Amino acid sequence: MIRAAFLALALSAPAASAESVEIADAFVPLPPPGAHAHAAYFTLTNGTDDALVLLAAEAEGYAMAHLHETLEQDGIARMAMLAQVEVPPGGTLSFEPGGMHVMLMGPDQDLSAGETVTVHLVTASGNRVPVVAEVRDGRLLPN
Amino acid sequence: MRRIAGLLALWLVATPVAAQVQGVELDDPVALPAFELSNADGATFTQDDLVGQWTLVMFGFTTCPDVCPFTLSNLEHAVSEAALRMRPDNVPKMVFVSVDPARDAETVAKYASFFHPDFLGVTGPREEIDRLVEATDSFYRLLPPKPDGYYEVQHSSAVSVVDPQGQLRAKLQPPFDAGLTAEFLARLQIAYRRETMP
Repeated sequence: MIRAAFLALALSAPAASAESVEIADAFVPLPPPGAHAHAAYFTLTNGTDDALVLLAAEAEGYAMAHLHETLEQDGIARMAMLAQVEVPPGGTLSFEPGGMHVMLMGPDQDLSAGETVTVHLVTASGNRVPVVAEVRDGRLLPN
Repeated sequence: MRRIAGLLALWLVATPVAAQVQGVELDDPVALPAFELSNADGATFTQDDLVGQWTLVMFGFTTCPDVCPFTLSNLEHAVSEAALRMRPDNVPKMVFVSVDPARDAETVAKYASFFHPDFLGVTGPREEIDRLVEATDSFYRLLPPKPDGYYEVQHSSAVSVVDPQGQLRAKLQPPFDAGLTAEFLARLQIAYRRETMP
């Protein structure tokens, strides 16, 4: 999904009035029972005047979380761990199915629809941006 | 993908979004060899099960956080759409083949049926998996484990479409848009009937 990379570079949101980092549409598709790995998705808008650099993710209730990207080349799907993700001032970045995602590994327990998963994005400046993702049943995208 | 030369359809959809190709038809159908896969529920999946209905075969692994659940969800949607366009006995049967039997032998059946009760999840001995992977011109690779023991699996993103004679006839491609994929399958079936019922 080259699109996700383009989004990272190209998209810029209208000037955000609040000087903050905003998270929208955060969700975790309800995973199959017993699934050892699944993913969280969201849209992040950097409303600050500085570039936002994400270095890592931590998830409550999981053994591990990683910033990941699904790449498809020559018909082969593979994953890449992202060492850092930069969002320019005013920029918006989408973590979406088939693209960038927070990989959630080793859940403490099975999830139910309507529950929330809390992920913290760790930034280069040492902040932790909370992402509260709703567990959603059903198809991922409206198509 | 070498066998796939012709594009069946370039959809001219009436949207500002660029037309997406949801599948490609093979120039010549490929007969699939004997294979035997199974799951912990006691179900088996062999070349004989391909005969008599359309089948979609996807390769993946259940520890796949993003692309496998995304694909299975989209295919569930696409098969539902297809059911609106074709006779019930022409609606394809969906089979998820895990290429990671070490981790998935016990769970693959439940994993697939989570996405739709009729989806079949199977795996099996490496040589049986490889026979089907090779015959469908697919690909996978288990990467070396990381220090925590987790290993990634790279795999073909395309989904094989097998006709009621057990022959590979087309490949579905991401993003598996429900409506366009269903339309592709419906057209493929019309072409198949023209060819096989003169």
